[in-house]
Amino acid sequence: MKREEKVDFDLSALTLKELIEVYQNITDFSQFLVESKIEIEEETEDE
Amino acid sequence: MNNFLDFINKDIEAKKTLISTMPTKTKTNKKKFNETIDEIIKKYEEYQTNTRNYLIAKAKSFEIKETSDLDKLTERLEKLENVKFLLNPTNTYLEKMCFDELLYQINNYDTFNFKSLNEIINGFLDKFEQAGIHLESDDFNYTCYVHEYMTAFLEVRNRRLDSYDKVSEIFEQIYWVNPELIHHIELNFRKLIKKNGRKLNHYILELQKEVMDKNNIKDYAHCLEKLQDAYIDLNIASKETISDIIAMAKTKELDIEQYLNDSKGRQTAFESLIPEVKDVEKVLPALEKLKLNVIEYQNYLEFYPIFKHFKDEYEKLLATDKKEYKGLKTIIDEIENKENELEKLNKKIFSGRPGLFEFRSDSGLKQLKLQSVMKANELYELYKTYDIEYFKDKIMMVLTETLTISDVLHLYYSFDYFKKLTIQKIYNMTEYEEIIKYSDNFDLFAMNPTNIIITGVPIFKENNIAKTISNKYRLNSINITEDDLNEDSLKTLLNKILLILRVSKIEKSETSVEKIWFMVQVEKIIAKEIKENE
Repeated sequence: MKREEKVDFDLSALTLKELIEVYQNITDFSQFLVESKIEIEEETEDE
Repeated sequence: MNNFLDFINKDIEAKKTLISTMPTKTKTNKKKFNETIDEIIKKYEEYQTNTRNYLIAKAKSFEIKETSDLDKLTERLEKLENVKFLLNPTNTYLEKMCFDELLYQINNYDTFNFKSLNEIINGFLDKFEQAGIHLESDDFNYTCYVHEYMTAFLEVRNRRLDSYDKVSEIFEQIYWVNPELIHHIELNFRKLIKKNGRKLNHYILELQKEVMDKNNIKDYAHCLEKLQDAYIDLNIASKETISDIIAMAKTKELDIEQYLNDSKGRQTAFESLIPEVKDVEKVLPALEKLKLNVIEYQNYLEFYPIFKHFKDEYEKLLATDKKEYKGLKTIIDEIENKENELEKLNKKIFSGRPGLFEFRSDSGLKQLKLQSVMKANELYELYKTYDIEYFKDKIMMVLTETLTISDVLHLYYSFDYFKKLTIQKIYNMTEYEEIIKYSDNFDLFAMNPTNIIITGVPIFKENNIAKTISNKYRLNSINITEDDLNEDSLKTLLNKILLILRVSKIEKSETSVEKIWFMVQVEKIIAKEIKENE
C-alpha cells in the first residue's frame, strides 16, 4: 500500500465522462468493501 | 501511471482478487481479512474525497452567471396591463372594479365551501368605500333578514372588532327561517351596484384619467401599442439563456442525456425535423417562430372546448336582428317591477304599520316576511336569466360572421364572471382554486399581444390551423406534418424544436453539452450525499 501512496495521479488528463466514471467506480467499490466485511462473533473459538 | 481511471480499474480488480483468495475460516483469518478490507476502505475513502472535491471544483468552474434586469420590464408591463384593464372599452365599471369577481364568489358560496362569507362581504364593502361610498345598515333592505344580518355585520366592521362570532350567531338564527340569506345578500349588493352606478362610473373615469396621465397614455389604442412594445421587449430580455438551460438540466426539466452528440433523441430531432438542412444556422429564425406558433397552438387546443361552446351557444345569434332583440331590456324591466313589489312589502315590514286588513298579529307579520322571502327567491331566479342576457347583449355588440378566436378571448377576458362560469361548466370543475388557475392561464393567453395565428382565425368558420402551420414551415425546409400538430404529438414536436434551438445556442456559447451533462452528474452526487447525511 505504501508504494501506491507515492503515485501522483493527474485527474485533469481524464475526460468529463471518465471523471464521473472513476468517481462512480470508487464509490461502488467502497460500497462493495463495506458489504464484504465479515462479522466476527466474540465467542467463536479459534480452530 | 498517470491515468487515474486505468489505475483504479486495475487496482479494483487486483484488490478483488486479493480479498477473494484470503482465508476466512478461523477467527484470526477473519480478523486479518477485515483489517485488510479496512485498510483498502481507508485508501478508497481518500480517493473518493479527492476525486469528489476535484469534480465539484471543475463543475463550479463551468458555471455561467448571466444577469438580466427583468424586474423593470415586468413592472412596466404590469402597469400597462392595469391601464388596459381600466380602459377596456368592452366592459363596464362593474367589471373594472372587479365586482364581478366577488359576485362569482358569493354566487358560488355553497358550491365551493368558501371558508369565510365575511371576507366576500368585506370585499364588496371595501370596493364601495374605495369609490367614496360608505354603506350603512339601511342600505341593506332587500329583506328584513338581510337587514338584520348586515346591521350586525356593519357594527362589527365599523367598530373594527376582531370577532365576528355575534354575526355568526345571527346567521344561524336567520338560516332556519331563511336558508337563502346569502343569495339575498348577493341581490342586495347587485341592487346597490346598480343604484350607485353613476358614482362608481365617475370613480372609474377619474381613475382612468389618473393612470393615463401617469403612464403618458392618450387612449386605449395607444395603450395597446405600448403594451405590444413592452411585451416584445420583455420577450427579448427573457429569452432562454445558457444559465436557464443549465438550471433546467439540473432540475431535470430537460433531459441533458438526450442532448449529447451520440444520443438517439438528438439524432431523431435533427433527422426528422430538418433532414435536408446542411447549415442549421439558416433555419434557426424559422424554428424560433415555429416554437412560438406551436406554443400558441397548444394554448388554443387547451381552451378549444371554450371556443366550441361559444360557437355552439352563440352562432345562432348571427341570425337575430340586434335592434329588435330586447332580451336584456325585458328582464331588466321584470326585475325592476318585482323589486318595486318587494320594496312595498318591505316598507310595511320595516315600518311596522301594516295595511288595515293585512295583519293585526304576529302571524300577519310572519306572513309578510314569508312573502318577501318568496319574492326575493323569485328575483334570484330572474337574476340568473339577467346574467345570461347581460353576456348575450355584450356578445351581440361585437358579433359578426368574421368574429375571430382572438375576439372571443377578449370577450371572456373582459367578463370574468362569465369566463369562470363557463370554465366551471365546460370542464366540470368543482374546486375554486382549480377554476382560478385555469382562468388565470386563460387570461395570460388572452392578454398576449404577440399571438399571431388566432387573430386571423374566424370562430364560426371551419379551419385547419395545423395544416396552415405545417404548410408554412415546409416552405422553410422544416419537415412537419399535420399529424405532428395533433394534441398528443405536440409536446414531442415542441421538445424536438427546443432541442435543436438549445443545442445551437450551447454550441455557440463558451460551454458545451458535455460540460452541462458533467455539471448535472456532479449535482446528482451532491444531492445523494445530502440525502445520505440526513
